[in-house]
Order: sequence, then structure tokens, then C-alpha cells
Amino acid sequence: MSHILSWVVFVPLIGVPFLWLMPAKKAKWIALIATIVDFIIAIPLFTHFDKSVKGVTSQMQFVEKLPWIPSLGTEYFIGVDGISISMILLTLIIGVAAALASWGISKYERGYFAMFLLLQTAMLGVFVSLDLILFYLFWEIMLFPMYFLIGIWGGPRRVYAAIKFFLYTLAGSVGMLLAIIAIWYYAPGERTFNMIDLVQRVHEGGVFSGPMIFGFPFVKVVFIALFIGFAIKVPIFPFHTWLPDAHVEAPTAISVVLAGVLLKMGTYGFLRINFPLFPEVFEWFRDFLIALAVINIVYGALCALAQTDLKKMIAYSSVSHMGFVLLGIGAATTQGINGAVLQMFNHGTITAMLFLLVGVVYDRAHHRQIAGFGGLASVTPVYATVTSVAFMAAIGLPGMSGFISEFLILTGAFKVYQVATIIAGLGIIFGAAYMLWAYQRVFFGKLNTKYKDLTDMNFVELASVVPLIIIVFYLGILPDRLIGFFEVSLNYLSAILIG
Amino acid sequence: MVNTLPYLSFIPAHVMMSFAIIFFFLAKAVPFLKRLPASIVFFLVLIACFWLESLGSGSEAVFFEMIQVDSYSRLYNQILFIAIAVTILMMANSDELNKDNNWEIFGLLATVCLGMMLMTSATNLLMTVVAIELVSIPSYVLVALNRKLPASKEASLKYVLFGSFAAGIMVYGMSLIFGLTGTLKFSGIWKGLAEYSAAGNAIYFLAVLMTLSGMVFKIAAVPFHFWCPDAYQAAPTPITAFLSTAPKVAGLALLMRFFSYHVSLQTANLTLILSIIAMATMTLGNLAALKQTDIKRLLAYSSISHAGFLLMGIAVLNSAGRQAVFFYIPIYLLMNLGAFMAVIYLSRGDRFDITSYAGMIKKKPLVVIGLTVCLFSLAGLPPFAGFVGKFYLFKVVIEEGLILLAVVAAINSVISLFYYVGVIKVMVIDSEDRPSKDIQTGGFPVVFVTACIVPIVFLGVYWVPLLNWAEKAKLLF
Repeated sequence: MSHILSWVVFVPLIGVPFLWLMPAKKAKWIALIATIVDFIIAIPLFTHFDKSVKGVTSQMQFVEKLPWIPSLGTEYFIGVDGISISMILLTLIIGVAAALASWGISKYERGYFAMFLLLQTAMLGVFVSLDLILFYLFWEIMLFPMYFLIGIWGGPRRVYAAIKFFLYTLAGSVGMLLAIIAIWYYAPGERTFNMIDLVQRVHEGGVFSGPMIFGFPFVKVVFIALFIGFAIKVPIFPFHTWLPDAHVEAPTAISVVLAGVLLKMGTYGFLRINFPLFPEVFEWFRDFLIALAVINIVYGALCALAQTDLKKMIAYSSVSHMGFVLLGIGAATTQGINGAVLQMFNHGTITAMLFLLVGVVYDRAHHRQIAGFGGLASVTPVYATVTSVAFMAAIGLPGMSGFISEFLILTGAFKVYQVATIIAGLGIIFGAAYMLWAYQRVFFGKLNTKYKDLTDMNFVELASVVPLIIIVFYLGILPDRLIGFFEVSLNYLSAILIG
Repeated sequence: MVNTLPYLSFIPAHVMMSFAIIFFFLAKAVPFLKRLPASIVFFLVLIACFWLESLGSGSEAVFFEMIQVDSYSRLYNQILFIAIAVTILMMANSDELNKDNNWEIFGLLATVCLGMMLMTSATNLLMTVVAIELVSIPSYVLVALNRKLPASKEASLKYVLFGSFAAGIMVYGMSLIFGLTGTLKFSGIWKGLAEYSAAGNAIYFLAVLMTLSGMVFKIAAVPFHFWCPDAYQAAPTPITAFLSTAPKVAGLALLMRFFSYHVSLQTANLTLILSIIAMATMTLGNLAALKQTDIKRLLAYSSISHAGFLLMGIAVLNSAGRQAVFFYIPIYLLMNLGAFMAVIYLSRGDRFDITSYAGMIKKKPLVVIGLTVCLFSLAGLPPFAGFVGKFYLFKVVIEEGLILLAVVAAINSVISLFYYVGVIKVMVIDSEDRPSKDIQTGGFPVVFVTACIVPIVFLGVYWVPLLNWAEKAKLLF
């Protein structure tokens, strides 16, 4: 099939008009069908992907290139390499899970699913774009559906959370836009928005010929502008404060998408644009990045430990886990960077699972206070079992996927940053602490009599979680199946960054 | 004595418009004319003018080189005709205006139009004064059309005071320029000022700034913006929509022509002056907009901040900058006219406080979506055309290395999002506190708003058609 990548990106969007052909109550089926169809037509992408091709600077696969705005030199240029294809896989999986998690939406269904599908297209678009303007366009299109999804269908403080998310991300991305224009204007060689060409030229020794900006070297300023844009999305301390609010107020499915895919766009941006374009600045920035990573890990874990709201705890655990991704990228050794991308994928699936499970109990009890539960294991055994698996995965129990990626990151980072790695290791202990403590308070102990009639997980809920559990175990035992996709690309990227 | 009559053949649209003014004012007195449908007559006049402009070609200096009729002025005039035609459509669909007075109102609008046409083609400071006054004086009356509203009288008076103040300063600045250079022609004054600007003479800055004041008054840039929110709030909404678009376009056209004659010696200091005005305008406009509770005042401040953004394109003083401004103008018209039409539609019964829009999405989903798109586009969010317009402005500024200006504009984009989203939040997220009576209106506003947002979305994704059009503007200088 030709144009397969375009189809994958735009199938969710094609689903949108169909929402109005059905009764509002059936809109969820359209969304589910759209995400599943999207997944199915994407299968050739993974089976035909040539794993031995490097990507990053050249040889992208499934490339599509059409003139778009010729006078500006920007093109509709999409393609994938090892880094992006794993993210596309993640987005597709999370898309289906989130569509299932939206089953209980009962207010303005059509609007909700229209926004949801638009969001899905935008996210996929970000991961396939190889043109900076196209990338920026998709990056920004994501904002307003997210605003409405949190703002209309969210919890009590949704309006505040939604606008906070909107403003934070926009503040970052406006700087990014200026950086993109500057990169284009002062590009080595002919001006272009083609990020693959740009990375290639930089790799071959091209330099950005920009002037000093406010007394600082051009490349450093542009690097920092890009970095902040992406860092807000990750989120990196001190730009993380939008995340707990957005997560707590967002409806379950949207928390799943937020944690599962959106956060990865930040680190993907680091790997695709920010660091390879400015390897020297990366070298200078590396120590600082590692410090930020460690702060994220430890600070996120400590915050999680202090939370009384289950969802907020998981939100902070995301901050902590994304810190590991940063640690791996900052170390930039082959293990570190491979581990980082693996962790991006694993964190996507595991955290999605956690949010889905919090959604299950919230739908029944209408609150998420950890202290408000107790002894749930005796009334909802299936739920308790599934949750225990998810929590173990989040802790990084061997045999599950989280362990492999964290292990890879720590080994990779230890070669270059011993102290930081040791402190980061502490984060894992904290991680185990807050997860197990929360589990104990919710599921064990004396049963809160208010919840003695709580129903167990239903079929739809199980259907959204179980595939993720399978993935977690599968990648815990055979991580190579996924690493194989991006190993070559990332080893090459590692060589570009520190080689 | 030079016979000026032959020149008339070069400026058919001006002539046409002049006759239209006489006709409109006569209509009230002559019973036969009074029975004609005023809107349709004006429409036909505009179409005729548009057509006459499209026939013209070449570049001709007429009336003792007071005005230059060239493809630049023709293109801008056509934009102005479209804006006025849209205003007429909006007036027909608004209940704020007494339709019996249409002939007078159209007479005033036609006068403004003639003034704006002179603004786009003036090449002499004297003609600039005439043109600006020709736009200003009928505008004062237009603001006061809501005779019953005390606020409109106040706003009109404020407008008059500021207008005369700005005009006075401008004329004084011109006298300085004339004293320094001995000429009032655009082509002569910058050359004449060269030695003063080289020396960094204070009198040079004084003369230029004072002359500028009259021009920035028309685009409502800081510090001559104070009249704007009051006038916008008090004027009937279609007039507000008109004031926020057409005179601004004409003012920008005038500024661009005025500065296009500058000599390279002056580039640095003029860029500095204009950048400062641009930054102050967008920042003050945005910060003031944050606190507004009235939708028309909010849009007024938003239009002030947009004037600041557009000044970025002028501040770079090159053809790329002029092209970026030209590129932004049709987008700006679409967004603003679309937004005001939605406001007219949603605010039946003279209630313009934003809170009265609560839960509107349930009652009027299509128009609310339209207004949402317009507001997102005004905030410069992709995939809407407003982003593309801002993108090109950012681009020309960064190309010139004006990083501070770019950063200030970027911060302003974020600030502006806050108040635009505030309106959207009220309409879409908030629920109605108390049910109000249902609004009964025809389908026209829906069609109108849709006609605005379809190109906004389309051009936001694929803006080549607009670029091809803006290429024309590039050929002009």
C-alpha cells in the first residue's frame, strides 16, 4: 500500500465526520473502530520495517515527500526510523486502550470523540514529521483538543488545569517556533526545514552561522529555546507543575493519553531535533541534564510518596520515571540511550495501565483518596490482582518490561555518571515504597464498609488493561523484539552525540 | 494654471466614490432617491469601484504628485472595498442600527472610504493630513450612531479629542519636517533629513515621531490608543467591526508607503523607533485585554495588540516585511470580521458582557465553534490562518536579527491566548447560570461566520494561494 504512513496518521481524522452519522450514544464505536483500523493498517509498517537501516541522518523509511509551501521551502515530508516507529506503535496501542477507557463518557459524546481522534492524528503526526514546520504544526494542533478534553470532561478543577496545561505548553512552543525559524535562517548550507538534512549537515561538520543573541552564542540560545519547549512537555523540573493538575483533572482516558504518549513527545523531540542538531552544545549541557534527570527522579518519587490522591501519586511517579529517560539520554551511551527509548515505551504502557486502573475505582467510588479505601482486595479480587501486576511493573520487578529499561539506563549511565546513577538508584527504592504503601492502604487492611458492594472490573475495563499487561510481560522477557526496531538508529545517534 | 481634469481618468474609483458621497447625502432630501434600497445601491457602488480598480494598470503620480495611483494602492483599495461590503452585510443583520438612517450612514461610510483610498495612495504629507481627517471626522459620527446611549456620546467626544490632538501633533511635526527639508513629498523628506539623522539630531527624532503620531492614531497604536476601547464599545457592533479593520489597513498602507522612501542611513534608528512602538503596543494591548469583561472591549484591546504585531512587519523596513504585513491583512480581516459577526449574533439585546455567553455552545453550536476558531486564530494557534500570518511576521523579524522584538512578540502570543481562551471557556465549558430567552435569528450569520472560518482553516494548512497573492505586493516596491 502506498502512502501507508499518511493513512496511519490521518485515519483517526477520517473517523471524525462519521461521528455525526451515528446516534451520539454510538459515537464511541466509531472511535474504537477508527483506532483499531488504524492499528491494523499500520501492521505492514512494522513487518516491512528494515531494522538494519540507521535512519537519524538519512535513509528514513516509508518516506513521503510532497511540495507544500514551495516559496518557504517547507514540504509535506514524513517518514520513520527506529526512534519514531516505536513511538508510533506506542501511540496506536494507547489509542485503542484510551478509546476503550472512554466507554463511560456520557456528555457531548461526539465532541469528545472528535477531539480525541484529532488528538490521535496530531500525536501520530508529530512522530512522523521530518519537516520542522510540519512538526510544529502537529505539535500545536494537539493543544486545543487537549484543552477541551480536560476543560469540558475533566474533574472539579478542570478549567484551571486545562488553561495551565495550555499556557505552559504554548509558552514552550512559541520559543520553539522562534528557534525553528532561526535554525532555518542560519542553517548550514542552503536554508531548509528538512530536519534530516539539517542533522546530516551538522554531522558532516556544518555550523550554524547565527550572530550572538543577547551576548550568548547563537547555538546555545537556540538549543535552550528548543530544550525548554520540549522540557515542558516531558515535563522536567521546574516546568512540571502543570502535569499533576492536568492528570488529576483529566478524564481517565485522557490521563492515559497524556502519560502514555504526550510526555514522550518531549523526549522524542530531544532525540530527533534538539540534541542531534547541536551535539557540541549537548556536550556542554550534559552535566546539567543529568542533574535535572536526578532531580526529576528523586523529587518526583518524594512527591509521589507524599500524595493522598491516588491519581496524583501516579502523576508524580510519571515525573520520576521520565527522569530515568532523561538519565539515559543524558548519558548517551548505547545502553543508556536504548534504555531510554525502551523506557519511553514501557512507561507509556505501564502508566497507561495505572491510570486505567485508577479510573476503574474512581468510577465506582467517585473519589481517589488513598486513605478512603481499605481492604478492597476482599471485594474486588480481580481488580486487586490486575492492580498488583501493574504496580509491580511500575516498580520495575524483574520479568516485566520496566525492569529491563531501568536496568539498561542505569548500566549505561553508570559508565559516565557514577554518583548520579547511584542517587537515581535510590529513586527506584522510593518508587517501590510509594507504590507498595499505596497498594497496602487501598487493598489490604480492614474493609471500608462503604465499599462492601463494590463491583469488580467489567469486560471493557479488562479489555483495555489486559493487552497492556501482556505487552509488559512480553517485553520483560523478550525485550529484544522491541529493541531490535530502534537499536541501530540509536547506536548511531549515540555515536553522533558522544562519538 | 494646470488643468487637473485629465487626471481624473487615472483615478476612476476615487471619482466614483466622490459621486457616491454626493448621491448618498442627497438621497435623504430627494424623495425619489429615498425609495431606492440603500444597501444595494452602496453594494453596487463598491462593486463598480472594485471593478474599476482591477482595470487600472501602471503607476501614475497625479494632482501635483499629491497622490500616487499604482498597483499598491489599487490592491489595498480593493481590500478596503471588501471590508466595507462586509460591513454593510453585517449592518443588515444587526438590530443595533436604525435602518431609516441608512442613507446617512452610507454617506459617512463612503466618505471614510474615500479618505482611506487617499491614505493608501498619498505621497505627500499634506495629502496625508487631508486623508486622515477625511477618515477621522466621519468616524467620530459613526461612533455616536447609538444616539440613545450616553456612553456613545462620551466615546465619540473622546475620539474627537484624541483625534484632534493627534492631528495637531502630526501637523506640528510636519511643520518641523518642512522647516528642515523644504518639502513635504515622501520622496524628498527622507533625503532631506539624511544629514540630521546621520548626526543623530534630536530635532530629527522629534519631527519624525510627531509626524508618526497621526498615523499611529489611525491604527490605534500606543500611545494613541486610548480612544479605541471606548469607541469600540459604544459604537454599534458592525461599525466596531469596520473601525477595527478598514482604517487599520489603510493606516498600515500609509505607514508602509511613508517609510518605503527612507534612506538606508535611517534604517537603524527608524527600526528602533518602530520596534519600541510595536512592543509597547502589543504588550499594553494584551495586558489591558486580560481584565476585560465586555467582549467588544476585549476585541478592541486585541486589535490594539494586533496593530503591534503588524508594526513588526513595518519595523523591519524591507519588502519582505511589507509582504508579511500584506499577507497578514486578509487573514486579520477574516478573523476579526468573523468574530464580530458572531458577537452580533450571540449578543442580541445589547448584552456584551462575556458572562452572558455562558453555555452558548448548547444553543448556538455552529456560531460558537466559528467564534472559537476565530479566537484561536487571533491567538495565532495552528492550524488556523492566524498562525501563518504571525509566522511570517516572526520570520521577517528574525531575519533582520531583531531578537528582542521577536521574544516580546512571542511572550505576547502566550498572554493573548489567556484572554481568548477565557472567552472560549465561558462559551464552551461554563454552563448557563440562568436560562435566558432563546435567540431567534435567521441563518445568515451562520453562513457568514462559516464563510470566514473555512478559509481560516484552509489557509492555516495550505497558504500557497495567499502567498501567490502576496507576491503581487512584493512587486510594488
